[in-house]
Amino acid sequence: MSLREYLRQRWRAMTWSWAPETELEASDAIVRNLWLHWFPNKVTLRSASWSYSLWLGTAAASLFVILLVTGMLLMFFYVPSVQTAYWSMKDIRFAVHFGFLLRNQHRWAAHLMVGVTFVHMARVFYTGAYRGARALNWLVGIVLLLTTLLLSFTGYLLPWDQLAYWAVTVGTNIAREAPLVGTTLRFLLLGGNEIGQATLLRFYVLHVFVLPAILLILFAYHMWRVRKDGGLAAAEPLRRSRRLTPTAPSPSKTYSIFGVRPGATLQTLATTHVEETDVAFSSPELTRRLTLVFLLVFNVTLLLSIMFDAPLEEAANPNLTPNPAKAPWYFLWLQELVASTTIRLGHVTISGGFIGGILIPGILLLLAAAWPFLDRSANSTEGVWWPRERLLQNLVFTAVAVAIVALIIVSLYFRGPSWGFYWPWQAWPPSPATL
Amino acid sequence: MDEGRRGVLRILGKGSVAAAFLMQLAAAARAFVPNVLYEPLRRFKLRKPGDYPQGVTFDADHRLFVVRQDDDFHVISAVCTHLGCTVQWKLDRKTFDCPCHGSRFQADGTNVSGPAPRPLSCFAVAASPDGYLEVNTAEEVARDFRFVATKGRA
Amino acid sequence: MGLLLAVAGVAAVSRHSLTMRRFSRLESLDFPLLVVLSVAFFALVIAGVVRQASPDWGPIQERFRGVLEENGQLRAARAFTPGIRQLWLPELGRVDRCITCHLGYEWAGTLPATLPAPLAPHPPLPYLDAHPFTRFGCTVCHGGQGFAVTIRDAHGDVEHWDDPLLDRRIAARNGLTQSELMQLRCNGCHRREETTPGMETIAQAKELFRKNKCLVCHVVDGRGGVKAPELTFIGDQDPELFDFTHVTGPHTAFNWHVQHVTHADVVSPGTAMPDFDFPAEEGRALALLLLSWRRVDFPPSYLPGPSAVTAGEAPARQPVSPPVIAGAEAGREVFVTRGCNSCHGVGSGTVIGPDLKGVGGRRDERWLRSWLADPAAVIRATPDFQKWPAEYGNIVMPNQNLSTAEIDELISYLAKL
Repeated sequence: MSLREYLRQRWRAMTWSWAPETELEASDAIVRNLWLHWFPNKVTLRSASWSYSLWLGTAAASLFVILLVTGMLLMFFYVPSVQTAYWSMKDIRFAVHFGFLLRNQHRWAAHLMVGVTFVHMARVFYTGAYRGARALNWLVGIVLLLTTLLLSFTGYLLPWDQLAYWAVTVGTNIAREAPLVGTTLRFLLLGGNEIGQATLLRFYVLHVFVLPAILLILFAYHMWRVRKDGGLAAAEPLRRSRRLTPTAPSPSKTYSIFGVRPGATLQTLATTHVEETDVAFSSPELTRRLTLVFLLVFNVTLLLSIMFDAPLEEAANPNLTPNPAKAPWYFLWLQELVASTTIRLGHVTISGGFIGGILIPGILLLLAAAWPFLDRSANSTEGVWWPRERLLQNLVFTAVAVAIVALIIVSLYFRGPSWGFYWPWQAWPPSPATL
Repeated sequence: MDEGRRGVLRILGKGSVAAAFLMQLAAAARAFVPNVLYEPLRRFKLRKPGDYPQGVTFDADHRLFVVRQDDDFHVISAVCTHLGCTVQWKLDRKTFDCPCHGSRFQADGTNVSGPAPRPLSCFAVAASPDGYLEVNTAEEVARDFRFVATKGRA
Repeated sequence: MGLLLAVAGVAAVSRHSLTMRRFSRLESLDFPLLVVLSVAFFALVIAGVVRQASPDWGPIQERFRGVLEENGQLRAARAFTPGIRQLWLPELGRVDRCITCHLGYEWAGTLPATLPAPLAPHPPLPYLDAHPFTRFGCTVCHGGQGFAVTIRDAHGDVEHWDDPLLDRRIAARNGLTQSELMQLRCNGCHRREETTPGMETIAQAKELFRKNKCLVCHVVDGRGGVKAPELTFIGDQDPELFDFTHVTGPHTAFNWHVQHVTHADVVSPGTAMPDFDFPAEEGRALALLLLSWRRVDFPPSYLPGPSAVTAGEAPARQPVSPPVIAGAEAGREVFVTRGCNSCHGVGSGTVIGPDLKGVGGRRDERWLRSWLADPAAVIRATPDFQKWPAEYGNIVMPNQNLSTAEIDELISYLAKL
């Protein structure tokens, strides 16, 4: 054959699964592909729609991929030693080609990931997609959120500048307030009593290997559970309406994590309860949208990276606390609470560190984790945005989320030296200089 | 071999595998508890008592204040009990102020305003055999603890 | 390469999307969205590449090549390759990339001194040979951010860098010339020399320091009195730890030192430090000296060799404790807390002011009262006393602003000495 034919054939061999030309190819593209086989062969139109899930989970995953790649590249230049870390950051910014872009993208993707993961959790809550069999996946999601926060926190220390050092001082001192285990926890985290080389190394290893590994494994399980639970909850209303026409359950087997089990599972039942007209092929629908979401997310991080440089303050100085010293923004609501919840009853003082730093977030976390088991709404409201029956709980969730965001905004823009209240346009007292 | 013996051997076999695994896990976990600390010592020498002026002197290297009244010495920690920032001595108000969240402590370390839950720690101070002030930050003392420097050695 | 892949990928996906329309149920927004995002992606990648490819030093280096050619340095011009240049000083833990723009630095004598900045050669100062670029770099003397390669960041006048370039602007706003200002860096290493060529302002300040007997109250380098804070590394003190309540003008450590050294009791009310009332130039010189006293952790091979140590006896470490007299404890308390014993001994000879042993027999109560209220007025009013300051190092006893009660108590004590 001609060269042109040969090239066309080779190209086709590589890309057929992303652009199938027959229905059989469309099915095979998913089922036989290592990267794509976690998608179902077909998805309901509503599951794949923009407006149901806003594709937030995919956005979070895309951000994680960006973080993995930029992080891996940064590892070639960053040195986790207290003498060298700060200067290696300066070198990345000034002396490495596209170093500024790598570092900025890593930082903005990290901030975005914390935010997007939370909004994704809100979406799942609002659509009641945590109920029934999906309760386990909800818990896995909460652990993923915590891992994301920990990843961001461990990464925050690595530049070893004033911002990093004191933010971690504040954060680990809040951790110390945990009853019984607090002091030991802080000692093990820091590798000692003070933040030093041991701390930097521990945080570095946690940040580049342990936590990403945990995240990846949990993410894989998170996807597994989505399949096992019968796909997104968006399909539940459809299934319920279709199931009114009785059909005999087909004999089937299913592959679970530990082997083959006989019988019909949610997953197999799910696929038999919808009609041909309700679904579309995952390849090309899902794959195309996946690409779009990734491209959108990448563009956003790239835009932010070009417009705004990630901060790097003075080199860490344990002898001088900057005024004010603020935790990373996703913990600022805790710091604001900690600063204002010290209770003084005569001679007894209950530390704000405990109330604001451990008790309140602890209660919120427990509530969130327990909610699938406390929720009393009807099954028919699954997969629906803001159904009337769940109005109250959705409002409460929103109120808590808004309160958290409000606290973050206050402590970010309205708090100045000595944690005093300053309007954003009000000038802070000028910081004295040497000359 | 009869069933009973086989059962016992089975338990012993699986048990030793489990034990080996658990011991490995415990060893790995124990490795993470540091035995040596690359940190400044908890007990260290400052300068000789005679080298300190009257009043409050900030020691930046050790994050503490040396307070001298005539020949009475005591040492107050400069680490705010709220979230660990370094407090500053304000001579005009005679208070220790923390720049992070506005905690304020009296001259004896008592917390009077702001979110700090506990007073500033006072550390034990004594004389080393060669006549230096020696502080032990692992040992806290009462607020009214005073170390009297022996005269004639200043 | 990345661009090509992006183009190819985008084209492939969009082409197949078109062909696969018959399988596509959800496409409504997707195709326009794809186009918009691809275009945006392109633009952003190009923006990133442009930012990396157009550094501040690019045009400057181009000009330098031209300058080399114009001045007959053809071989150097041919060999010139653009790129970041740096002086790496591992012993000092510094990297100075200033020479990426300041390319003429080592061409003194060959390239004209009249070249415009930043290409001009380094002025051929007499002590430059003792401080070769390859061992000292630039920022050790000039300040600035050696790691940076953008103009603003390298000159260090940015947020979160507290060692800016010591330029004419900073010097002028502190009432100094640039070469005066830079002496504060020299003295970091040369502090133990009495005088050093090129450091006239600092030498003047050291002389003032000696003459005014600052060591009586302040410890510097292990010698001196402990009445007042130690000054050995006072230059390291963070500006935030100074009290600016009574300081006029900008809140800088330099300004604080100038005012404190000149009128101590204005800046620190209630201090025992005398009001020296230095002329402005001397105040600035002393402030420079104080700011120059910093921890310098250079290897010993960098420091100047031993030379004549600043002369002057080290005074007693502690002011001598005045005698306890029954019935006059309150007066003794005032004597100690208001710092009288930092200048006056009792039976131990002249420290700064005269020994006060027996003063109760030499002066009556009325005289003591008028003296303690305003010593300078008494000297002015009595011609005989006007030779006193000369006998005591040209120092007039500062007015301690004592209250009537304090004067009463003091007199009851002094009368019994």
